[in-house]
Amino acid sequence: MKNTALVLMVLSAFASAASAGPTADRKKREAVDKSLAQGASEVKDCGKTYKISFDWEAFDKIDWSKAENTKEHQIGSETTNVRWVGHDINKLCLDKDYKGPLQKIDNVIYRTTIEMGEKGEGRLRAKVEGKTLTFENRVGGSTRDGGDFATAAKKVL
Amino acid sequence: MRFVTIVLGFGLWLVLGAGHALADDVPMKEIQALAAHGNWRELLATATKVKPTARDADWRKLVVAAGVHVIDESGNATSGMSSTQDLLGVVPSVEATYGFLRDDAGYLDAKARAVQRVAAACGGEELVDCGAIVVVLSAGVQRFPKGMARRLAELVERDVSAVEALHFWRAAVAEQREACQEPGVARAVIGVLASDAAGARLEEALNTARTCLVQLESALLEALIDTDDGSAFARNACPMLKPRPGASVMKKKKCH
Repeated sequence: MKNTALVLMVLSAFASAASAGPTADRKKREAVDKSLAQGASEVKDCGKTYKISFDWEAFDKIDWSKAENTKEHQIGSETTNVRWVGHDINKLCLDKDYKGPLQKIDNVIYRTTIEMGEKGEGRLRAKVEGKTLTFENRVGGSTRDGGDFATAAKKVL
Repeated sequence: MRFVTIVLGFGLWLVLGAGHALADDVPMKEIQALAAHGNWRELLATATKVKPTARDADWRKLVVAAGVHVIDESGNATSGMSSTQDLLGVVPSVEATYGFLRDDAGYLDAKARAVQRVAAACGGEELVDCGAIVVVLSAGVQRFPKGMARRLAELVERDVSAVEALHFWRAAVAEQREACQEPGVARAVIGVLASDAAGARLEEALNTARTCLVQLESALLEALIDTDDGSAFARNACPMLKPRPGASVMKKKKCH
């Protein structure tokens, strides 16, 4: 009986370690990508398609010791955040004044950052470089919501 | 011609306060006696009853002295915060009656000292409307002791409104440009620009916005996005934002 309990405890500890390991991280990242893709599927009124991606390279370069959230916590938040990227792109396309400028964009990138903006932009800021529209979301604060990406984009389009 | 004469005569009669003085004239001696006995509040309540023609050089000095004493007496160690709160009911009416007080350096200094006392005392357990007292006491005061303006701005925004805090944020920014980054500055500026404010208050908002434009631009653009065409905010903010790069679609839509 005593041995059985010991084995169960060891197995339990192993399972916990595994859930916090690479597999769990991969699953969370897949959830983020899936959420982003789900939002991207809402882009129907722009007359074109966009390559919408999450900048995982930038995410992995973040010094999380300087961030307001832990890496694990942030991945969870990103699943909610990125859901609205495609939704808001389509929202902008429904306004003919923004549909025009969006024809010049081919790529949309969502990037997590811990860098403060220089110009008081708030946590979510957008920039246009060539044919790429990049959203930079600073770690911390509440999660993004529908309309936040449209507002950020309107400041630069 | 006759009508004009009558109107001018009536105006002069009003300016001189004859209508009021007819009711119960008070001699200068009585005002001087009130001052001698330290009855400052009564002096302020009575000084207008001295006929303008009977007022000598001391009249104005005595009113100023009374104003200074009333403010200095409030909120001192013995009277506590409740008497400071009492100023809410006294200062606005006194300044409305004796407009010259707001131009008197000694009186404004007394108010600045009282504001300091309020700021130091607020946060205690006594329930007082600190922000409202600060607004009343600060009218006409342009400079505050170092570091005080930011504290006052926070108090006023908390207790009164973001818009009322503008005066203090402007002073904080004038003292230290880094204050432009405080979120309260954007709230105050946007609040005033979106209102029907005109004159000095609008100028104060525009000047603060120009001084802090780099830090406020994003918030101003956000407010422009949310505002209606032809709104007060668009009318006030567009001349500042239009020459700046970015948001060209939005500016085309909202800034006519």
